Amino acid sequence: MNIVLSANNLCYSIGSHKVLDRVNFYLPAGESLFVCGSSGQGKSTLLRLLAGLEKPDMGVVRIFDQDIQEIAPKRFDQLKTKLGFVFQNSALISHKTVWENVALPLIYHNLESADQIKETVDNTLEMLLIKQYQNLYPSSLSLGIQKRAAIARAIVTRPQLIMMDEPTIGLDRISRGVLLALISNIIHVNHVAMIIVTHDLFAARELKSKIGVLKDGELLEPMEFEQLHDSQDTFVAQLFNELQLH
Amino acid sequence: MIQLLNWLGKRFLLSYPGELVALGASALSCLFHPPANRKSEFSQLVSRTYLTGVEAIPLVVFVALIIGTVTIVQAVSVMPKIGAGDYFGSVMVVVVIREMGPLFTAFLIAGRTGSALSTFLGNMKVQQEIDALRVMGINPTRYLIYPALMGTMIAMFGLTVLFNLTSILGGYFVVRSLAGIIPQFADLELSLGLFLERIFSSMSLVDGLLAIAKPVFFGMVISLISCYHGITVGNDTRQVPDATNRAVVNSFVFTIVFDLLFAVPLLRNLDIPL
Repeated sequence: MNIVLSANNLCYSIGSHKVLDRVNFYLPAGESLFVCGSSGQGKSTLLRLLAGLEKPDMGVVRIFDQDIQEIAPKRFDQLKTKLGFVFQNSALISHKTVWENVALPLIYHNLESADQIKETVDNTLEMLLIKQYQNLYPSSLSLGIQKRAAIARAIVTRPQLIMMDEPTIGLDRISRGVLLALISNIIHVNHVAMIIVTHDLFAARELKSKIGVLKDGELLEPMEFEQLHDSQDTFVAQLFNELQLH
Repeated sequence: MIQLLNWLGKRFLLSYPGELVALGASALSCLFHPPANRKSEFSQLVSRTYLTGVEAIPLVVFVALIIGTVTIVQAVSVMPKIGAGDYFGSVMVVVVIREMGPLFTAFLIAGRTGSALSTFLGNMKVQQEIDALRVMGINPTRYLIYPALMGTMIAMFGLTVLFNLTSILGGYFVVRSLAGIIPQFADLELSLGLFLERIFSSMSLVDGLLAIAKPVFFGMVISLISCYHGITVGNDTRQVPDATNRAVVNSFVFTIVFDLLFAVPLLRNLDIPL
């Protein structure tokens, strides 16, 4: 089994508050994992640790079998061209247009020639149905289009692993549906491994992904939506209640 | 002794000046590591130099004209009365080229570019745009700080040369043109040839070196301080104006302090025991 992402005994604290406590999981190539939990359970923190944006107090994160804390910064930067990341707030570069944002990693790392970059970016924008917005700046876009632009930027380098933080939050039903269809397409057609942090358990069901629940800093064994729904765990039941699934 | 030096070194690196030095060293190290895409980095540098330098030209010219006019009027009208008319050239060199040119240009750049840079980076930090660069494998120091640093240094040099030329030549022509309107100015008898001759004959190699070193150094100080305050903003938008405020004030203070340090070696020429 080709493991693209794994976490072993990952611990992280803010002051005396233990945010993550011995988190363990692995993600094989081409599979997806949803990480759910109530607010403040450390979902976004987990994603930041996995992407190397924060350092854990303890534990190891391996991406493509490389310990990201041991790897040289320059090598890690190169490795990141195989990694896509979508922030909760999209985090598009505000002084660049949609096209420039999407082209940025290709240009900076000099991954393709200018003509190839144009073709790749145009194709990616078309795939995400946002070609008509390519010359606009992020501030003039709706939340849904910003999310799609952020996904376009994350997949333009054809990564093997994508991390997403609350991709559906704040979207109306139609935008959410379009976005989930696009994510499903990326997972199943492009065979990209994906870890998605979300409150949206419905999304996990629609994408037929396994769900890991963060409970008091620990990640429970990932399971299917139906298994989770039938779980006897009071915390999980409470989570479902919170999400008004019952 | 080694332990003491080690401790002092660590304390320095954790201090504000230490962090500025570390940031500067990190940014300047980019000079020795070629980028993956030279064309992209060059266009970043040109863009930053344009924003800092070219767009500031009208402001610098305006201030330089006023400073030049006032200095020339004061020098030409007051100095002969106290028997120091022969030192006119020296005064212009010391006042404009050594001091006012670099200092006023630095103040203008700190107020204009420094504040913009700090706000720009602070907003990027709050909006997680800098984190977005990092997860794309884009080194924020290389992508944002290095072009800002180099662009400000280049622009500061160019703008200081422009300030000096404008204040000396522009000031002279303003005074001459005002002679027909303001009767007191009509008494100023100074041809352009004599005016320039007095200035150039008073210039030394040190003045030439200072004219290059000071603005470049001030540009480095201003951009590093501004970048530092921008990138150290937390996750709260309310911290951005505070960071900008500190960036501008600290740029002013550090520029004045370094201006004094630049002047110290020159005090030897005055035979003052140091």
